Amino acid sequence: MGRSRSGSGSGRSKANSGSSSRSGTAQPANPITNEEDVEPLLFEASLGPNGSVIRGSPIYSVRDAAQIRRTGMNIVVCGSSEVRNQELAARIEQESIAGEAGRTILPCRPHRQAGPEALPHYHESPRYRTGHTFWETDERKAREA
Amino acid sequence: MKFFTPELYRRFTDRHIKESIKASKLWDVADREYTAHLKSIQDVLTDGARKLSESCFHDRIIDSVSHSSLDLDSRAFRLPDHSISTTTVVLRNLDEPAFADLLMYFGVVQIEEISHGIEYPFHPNANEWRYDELYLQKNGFVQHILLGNGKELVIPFSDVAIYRIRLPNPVEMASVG
Repeated sequence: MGRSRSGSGSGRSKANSGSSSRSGTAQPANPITNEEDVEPLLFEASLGPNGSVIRGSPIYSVRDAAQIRRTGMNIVVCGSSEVRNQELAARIEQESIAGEAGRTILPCRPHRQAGPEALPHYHESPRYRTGHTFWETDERKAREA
Repeated sequence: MKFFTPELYRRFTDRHIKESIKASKLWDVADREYTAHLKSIQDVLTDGARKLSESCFHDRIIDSVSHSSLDLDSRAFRLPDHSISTTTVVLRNLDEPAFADLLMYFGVVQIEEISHGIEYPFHPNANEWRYDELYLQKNGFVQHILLGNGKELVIPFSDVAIYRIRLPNPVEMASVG
């Protein structure tokens, strides 16, 4: 499977740059600067057995990932830094609800009943559409397709 | 909520990612402790309560909560005089819009509603099932459900039945009408 660099158009991740604040929305407030210098990778995702998240096609920008989320599809952020993965997942989900009044984003822990391979994820709140933005943690990883 | 407390949930949703990750480690500890708690009570759960403890309703939207009490006529039904109180919770799933889950709790005297006074991450319009816990109590069980609007429902019950139903297609219903 091919791998992609995440970012907004330039092919580079802007996960460290933070994002603009909107009233009533959740924002990662602290730029991450001291984590490993390995950019997270973005993939479309599907759900598998035992709660697993399976990587699909690579995605090359946060903007594209947010657009895919708007259609109700799943995304997964993969990488060796849990902090950067979560920060980028938050950015994608935040961008996916840009311009939608009264919406916010929420992280959720893996669901115990979903299975041992379930990943934490963001989705919007209140929920009006399907899908999630998952991220890999130190202990929990997505499956290769 | 003894394990997945609203405060722990708030910390997990902290906008500072490093704080969120710290809380997520605590959440994993709580998850292990709650799993051990469930294992310790498995032998006394009814089939319905066991199924409830194994079910995942996270993110389901609570469509309705209704309560009814039917007074049985002991002569007609040849049963002891008593009433069966039933609380029905209807859950909808965005991922499966053609279906709904029905939770029928039996023996419910009263549902308690607790407000936690924590604003974010809760949203007043988020009528969604977040996390739940099940405990034993005298003459049955009690389930605590943390909702997306920050309220906690406390449902004492003697038994529970869970059904999944296929919803009627609105287009087909309109053509019949």
